[in-house]
Amino acid sequence: MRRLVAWIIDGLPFDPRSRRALDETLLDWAHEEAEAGPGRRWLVGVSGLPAVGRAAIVAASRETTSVPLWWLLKRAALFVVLPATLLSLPMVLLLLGTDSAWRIPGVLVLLMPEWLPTVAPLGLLLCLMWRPRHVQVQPVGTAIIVCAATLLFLGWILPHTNAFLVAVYGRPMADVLGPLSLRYVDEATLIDLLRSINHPGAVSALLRISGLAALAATSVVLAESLHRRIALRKLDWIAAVPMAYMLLSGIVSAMVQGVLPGFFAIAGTAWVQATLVLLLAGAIQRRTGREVDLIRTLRASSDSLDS
Amino acid sequence: MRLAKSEHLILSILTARGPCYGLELVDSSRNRLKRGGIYVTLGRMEEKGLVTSSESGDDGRRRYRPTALGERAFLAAQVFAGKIALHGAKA
Repeated sequence: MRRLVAWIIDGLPFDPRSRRALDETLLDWAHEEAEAGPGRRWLVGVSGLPAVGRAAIVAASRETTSVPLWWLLKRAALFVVLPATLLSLPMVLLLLGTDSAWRIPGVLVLLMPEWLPTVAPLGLLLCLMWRPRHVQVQPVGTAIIVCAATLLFLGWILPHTNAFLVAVYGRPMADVLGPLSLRYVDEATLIDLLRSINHPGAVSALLRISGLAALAATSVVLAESLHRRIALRKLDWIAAVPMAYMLLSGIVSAMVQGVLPGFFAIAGTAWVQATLVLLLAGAIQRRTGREVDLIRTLRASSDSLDS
Repeated sequence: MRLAKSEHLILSILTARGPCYGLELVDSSRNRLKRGGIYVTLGRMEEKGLVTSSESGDDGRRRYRPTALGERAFLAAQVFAGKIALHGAKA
């Protein structure tokens, strides 16, 4: 049990302070197990779990309150909101030369959120991976904030902008957006979905929304693992990462939609992608996390000695 | 320097007992300190310069002890608490 928990925690890129707190809690657990007699060992083996769980929650909460929010917002605007706006342009440009041309700025603002769920994971991956070395981001805290923001966006803001867009045009969404439209726009809020949980459609929509939130969060975790690994190497091949990410994403999406029946394929794709991204991030983290933490600690000690 | 309740408790135990492991602090606090949160608090106190730690033994566990600053902060908090109690009794 303890080894499994330690293995899982090793795969998450906690910041050095959280890592140390978790390591010490795990060491206590190991110490207690070693001290316990054969009869009590299984009891100690189980009783350490809540302590590590609590340590992880306390560490994650501390990280969440220490995230450099202003820096994150500026980067998200550049890497997520700007590309989403650019992707909305082709649809908006169709209005040029028509009587509705004056609506272009408003429609652009309303259409941009449609692209955000698609753009967010890759945008977050890039903005966190390509950050200056002096910017310390608390990865688990950032992942929690990103997950909450995505849930808020998909479960509340997007359904409202959709409703507003439909009201403006007075037509169903698919007719408004035409052939370039995203096929699965979210039209119900999280509260509405939870109220109608008995309906299979609501379950599917909830799975999809939570899956996209999990995918955005795991992108942060992958970005941190890659940042730690690449920080030790040449930066030349960093451009290949987004390509690989998009390719992997496309392959997984096609595979899941081929295996699962239509409705659940839409709901399950994001969860499968999130799981794969987390496993990949965990493998990279386990390989490099410890050596990077050690190097950072040595650098910090040498800096404090210099000063 | 303002001490949180848990920091005050940790310093009081360390001052009374001398260097301790995290788990010993939890046991000595009669469950007022929790196993899951103790090391986050100790890490914060170490950053503030209130405690210091060193590895002892082969198992990698760390023993914590108060620094001079930690001892002074604890004494100041005790004196302050004493004055408040005295003021309350007079009133």
